[in-house]
Amino acid sequence: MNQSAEWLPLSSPTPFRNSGTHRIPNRVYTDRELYEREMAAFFYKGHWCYVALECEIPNAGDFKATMIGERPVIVVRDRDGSVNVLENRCAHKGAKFCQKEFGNAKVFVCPYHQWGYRLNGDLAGVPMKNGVGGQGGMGADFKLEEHGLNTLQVHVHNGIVFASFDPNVEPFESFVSAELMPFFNRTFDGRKLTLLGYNRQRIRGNWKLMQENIKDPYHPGLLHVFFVTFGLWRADQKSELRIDPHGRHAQMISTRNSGGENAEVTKGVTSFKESLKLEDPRLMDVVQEDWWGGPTAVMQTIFPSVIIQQQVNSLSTRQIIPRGPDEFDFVWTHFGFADDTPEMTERRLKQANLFGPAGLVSLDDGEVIEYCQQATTAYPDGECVVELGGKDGGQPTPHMVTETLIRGMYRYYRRTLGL
Amino acid sequence: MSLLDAIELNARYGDALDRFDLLAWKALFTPNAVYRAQARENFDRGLPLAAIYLDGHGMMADRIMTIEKTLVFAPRFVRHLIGLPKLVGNSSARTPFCIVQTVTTTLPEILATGCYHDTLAATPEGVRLAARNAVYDNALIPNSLVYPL
Ligand code: FES
Ligand SMILES: [Fe+2]
Repeated sequence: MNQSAEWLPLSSPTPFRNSGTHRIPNRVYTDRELYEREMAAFFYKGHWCYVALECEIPNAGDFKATMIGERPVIVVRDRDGSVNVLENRCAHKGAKFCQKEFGNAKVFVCPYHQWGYRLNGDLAGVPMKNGVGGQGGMGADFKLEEHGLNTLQVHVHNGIVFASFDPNVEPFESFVSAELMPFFNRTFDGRKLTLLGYNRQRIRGNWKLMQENIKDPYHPGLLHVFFVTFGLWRADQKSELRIDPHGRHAQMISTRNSGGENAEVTKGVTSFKESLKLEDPRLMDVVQEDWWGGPTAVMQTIFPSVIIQQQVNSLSTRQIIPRGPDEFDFVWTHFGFADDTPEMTERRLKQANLFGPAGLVSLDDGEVIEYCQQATTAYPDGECVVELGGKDGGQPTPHMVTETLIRGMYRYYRRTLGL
Repeated sequence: MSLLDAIELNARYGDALDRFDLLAWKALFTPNAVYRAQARENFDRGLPLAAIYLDGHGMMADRIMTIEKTLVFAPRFVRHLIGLPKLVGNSSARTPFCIVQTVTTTLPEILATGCYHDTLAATPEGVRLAARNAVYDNALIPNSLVYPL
């Protein structure tokens, strides 16, 4: 889908210097005009964005306030059990009327002038509509039906909720793609989910750097010393990369091996520390689950808004909430399954030590993303080299030694933004 | 358990972390103590997830090992400003904290502010933490949480 036709010409020409995506111009991380286009083309149009897990709002009236791009929205369970996503923006004067992150409501009443909305966004009532003592009031042509909250398209897929501002957004399954649906459904197969809790961090880097980070199987065995030392991730493990035909979404699928020394992958890898041992192995008390069907880790990037993590027994969604070209919030929602034993829940909670802002294999990611932003900002005419595995524009690969998924994302990026 | 015991414990706690003496920090817990750093939104809603969850001295030692040997992060200073404990019953306390972080060459920022929810134990070595949950009000962490709160 080429959306470039409707864009005004950029005030400067495309920042890409050649036709491929093996070189990424620094400007894509820092330029305000490109950022505005990204919000319009990716977060507000043509894409399904992650908003919630159903288990966060189990009962009628339960709501959650969240964001799509920079726009506040509310995800609410209606009386009939369906899920609505409403703009958190009063139809009167635009107040972000819901200030609570979570709660239960029969109606939403904006505090400013008390316009009241039903859970489906319909405007139910307006104070002083007919005036007071025969004076004032709304005109005869004012119709409640015309002033409801803007509502979004909603897709609930086996417990995970996506929404779109775009009434013409393609069906969810074709959005995710036939290539990626099998592993998407491996986690979300209809089992009831349970909510374990949240972690939130603010990262002073461009939001795309986080998408790239989870499309980058080059770094985990190098940056994350914990990963390579304790055998959770190594360049020689059985692995596969999947990517949708557009190049926007991807899955890194891998099966861990036993760790220890393997000359080819650990020689010259300064981060490998054979002498390190855990004093308490419960931090890494991995128990195989039947539904894995083999792979021990599947990391999915669903562009633009979310990463879905299964890394051994730890499961989370990681929502990306951009805040300008140089900052985003990263919200982790950890979950399990309703039929987990108490021991499995405890295991998921202990393995959560690896993830989030304090995570033994994810704290480093937030750090290096900030390092990237710090220098690319200062060198707007510079570019990044993304040539591991060649110069292709993103293709499925039976190994991890490639940056093909990042090239795929920028193929889609260039085409969609007309760059 | 006197107020003075709790104050003394907290003084040693903040001092150990601010000097990066993580073994001294660990020694302020009983061997089976549980340490958590948990966002208040989880604590208030009864959700069990914590950003850091260490069950006993072994896991504390592993966290220390990762800080010192495996994690990659920009150098920083931390400063624990720990308020006065409010003793609750015989062996519990609530104590407010504010932790300021200075990442090298940037301005200081508040890393976390909240309340320690403690279970205290009298031991032959003195008063120790049998459980500490550092519940931080700011759900949002400025990028990374390296050292225990
Ligand atoms: S702004 Fe919401 S009722 Fe006036
Ligand atoms: Fe990583």
